[in-house]
Amino acid sequence: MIRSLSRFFPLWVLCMACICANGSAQTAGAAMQIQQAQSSIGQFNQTHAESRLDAAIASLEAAGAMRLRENQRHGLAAAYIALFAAVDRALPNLPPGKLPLVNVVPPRAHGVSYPAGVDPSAIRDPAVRPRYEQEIRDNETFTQRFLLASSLRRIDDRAVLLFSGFSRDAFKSAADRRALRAQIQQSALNRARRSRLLAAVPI
Amino acid sequence: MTAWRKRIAVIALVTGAFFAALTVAAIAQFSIPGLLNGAKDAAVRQALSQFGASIGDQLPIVVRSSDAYPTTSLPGAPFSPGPLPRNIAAAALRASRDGTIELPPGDYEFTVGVFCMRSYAHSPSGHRYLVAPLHGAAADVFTALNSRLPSFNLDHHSVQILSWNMQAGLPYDEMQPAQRAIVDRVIPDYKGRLTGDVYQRIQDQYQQIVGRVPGMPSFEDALGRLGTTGQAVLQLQRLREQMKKPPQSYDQLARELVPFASLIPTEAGGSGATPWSRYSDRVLVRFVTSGNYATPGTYQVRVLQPNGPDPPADVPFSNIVNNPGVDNVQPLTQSPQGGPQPQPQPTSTPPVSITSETVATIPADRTRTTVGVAEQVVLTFSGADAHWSVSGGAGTVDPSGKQVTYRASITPATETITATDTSSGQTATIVFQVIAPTEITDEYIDGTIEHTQGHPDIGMSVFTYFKPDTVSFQFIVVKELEAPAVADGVYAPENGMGHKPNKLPMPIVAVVPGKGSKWAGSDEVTSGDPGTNAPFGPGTITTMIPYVYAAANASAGPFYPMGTAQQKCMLYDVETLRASKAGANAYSKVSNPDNT
Repeated sequence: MIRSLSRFFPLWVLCMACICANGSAQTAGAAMQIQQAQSSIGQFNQTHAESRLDAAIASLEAAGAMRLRENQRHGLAAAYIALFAAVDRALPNLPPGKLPLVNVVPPRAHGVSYPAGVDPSAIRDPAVRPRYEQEIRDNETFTQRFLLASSLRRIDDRAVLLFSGFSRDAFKSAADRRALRAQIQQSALNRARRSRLLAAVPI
Repeated sequence: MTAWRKRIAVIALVTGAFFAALTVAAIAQFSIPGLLNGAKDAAVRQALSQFGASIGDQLPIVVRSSDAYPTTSLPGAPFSPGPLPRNIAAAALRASRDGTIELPPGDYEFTVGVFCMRSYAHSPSGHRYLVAPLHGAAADVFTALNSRLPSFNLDHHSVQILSWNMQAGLPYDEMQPAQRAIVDRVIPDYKGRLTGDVYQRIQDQYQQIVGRVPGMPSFEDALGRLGTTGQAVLQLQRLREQMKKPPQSYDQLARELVPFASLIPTEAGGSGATPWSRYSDRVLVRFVTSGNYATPGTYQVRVLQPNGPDPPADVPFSNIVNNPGVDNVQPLTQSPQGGPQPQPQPTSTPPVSITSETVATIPADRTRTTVGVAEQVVLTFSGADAHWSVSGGAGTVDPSGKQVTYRASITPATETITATDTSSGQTATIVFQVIAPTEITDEYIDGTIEHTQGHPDIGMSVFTYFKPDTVSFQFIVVKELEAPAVADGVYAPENGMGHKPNKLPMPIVAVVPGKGSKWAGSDEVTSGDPGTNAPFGPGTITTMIPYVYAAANASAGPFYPMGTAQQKCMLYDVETLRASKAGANAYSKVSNPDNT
């Protein structure tokens, strides 16, 4: 039997590899969800793809409902903190009060001005048109940054709401909540962020 | 090596030899001179091979006769199951996401109902099975179904028919009402996975290949040349047709799908005690039965003591299949029997409920159930954990958790969200009315008049709001579309000029009570100045500007129409100027000093 097996050893190895791989795939649960969340946050840090933050939040939501051991509760809190840190790092620094423009006003030249948002091809003056086109491009660049900031703030608002619910459900006793507050205080988050999160933890 | 390991090895060898023979046969077929040749022949073979591989990934369930966890002898004391509260497995399984439950070290025994996982195969009594992982595109759906079944007092036959429906890749819409009802009640969160007709999808894929690769055989011929995979598709199609028009009675259906002829033990099942299967380092399991597909079996579990500090171990229940080891006998999935076990009593447990809190902090009522398109709401279930589903629109909800995010439909809808308690099976619903912006209004920004003294030009800056203010449109982005101006009189030279706004959509910054959702951009409304000499006659320049919106996380679209705003600048007479847009107005006179 063994002699005949050896002739087909690769096939046998393949069969066993499939079986073993499936066995290891059985382990799931909170630890895996937290790991997935951390992984998604890591991907966001590299790509700034907001979908990765959405994926991280979905993993945090799922983990929050699972049976959490003591270290997993704080592991989940740490993943939330990592998410908030990632958001803070990625938020563009926008000039206060500046808004993107729906239409750019073309420069006035030689006594002629064109309506805001006019197609640049309508401007005949070869000196004015490139200036106008550049202003349009600048506005679009700024709009991109503004869109990113808005998107991150929306994600942030949702994550804070979920973090508040998680801290309420998973840290029920006063001692638990003290420990969570300490974890937030000791994190590397900036002061404003720490204050916001501390306010989200129920008294 | 145990007898079963030897058996697996032999089966693997036979399977390998079988596939090798098939390949040789297939190559021989394609090598007939004059039929196919050279590069064309190779292209067809490659396309067929790729098609075969893609089919394998789409079959709802795949049980290879060689699938099995490694077998082992039972270490330590003889198997001696202790008493276990009978509802423990059911309650834990309801909450399980992967078909396993945690059990502390010890011996356990469960009575399990079983379900056929093949069509047109026997189910001899007393067959010997090995525990194997559940494979296939719908393996997770079967796992969820079998995990939750003990929580529902359902007719076993109806569930078996549903199982065959799913094995046939039959879409939800084509199932019988009884089976659709089970999906709605037990696995509503997986309904989206049951929408496509698997066979039709496979056939469509093949037709695409036919369009690309000349010389491809007919679909039926191709399946015939794809060996066991092709046979599996043909069997799926046969089962699909049968399930679309099932016989009058379950007995008749069962006789056709599980031929009655051989309810006797077969040689292939082997004799002697059923070996234990090693699911993990600490968990050994086996399924034993003296009956067949129509009778319950016994599922035995031993959880070994750990070396480390983590006593419970994950024990598989519904993420496995009991594999007969041969192709002509029914593999059986299992679910702990609900019958004699305590059933959830909806009247004796507190009703479950859903609370909601909008992510947007304005409007102040964050429990409102009228929301803007794409608006996000955090939903909280009163129980520990729930499976979630949404119907009625294009909205989405995260599939599981105590707290989840609901994202409203991108178009107006009435959406119902259902949470199914993973512990008790109880359900709660919440209904949201989803509305789109109904009105675009502009607001003149004080001090922004643009004018050049002695010229017929006027302009102003405005803020734009989208009504109503009773919801938040923070989760959409908005842009203007291009539109030509219609101009006359003094502005006639500008007639037909394009209005080319920012091509990027812009977000909403906040909801302003009384005004609506405020758009992030400031908008410039200007007449332009054609540069003609005084005196000026009256004139107007008007642009009808369409507005569209998209989900905030999809700023590239798709876009949905939300209304049109009229932008108009005019010189009334030789002196008075007016700029207006969507309710905002600014006035000046030709003789006014600059920017007044």
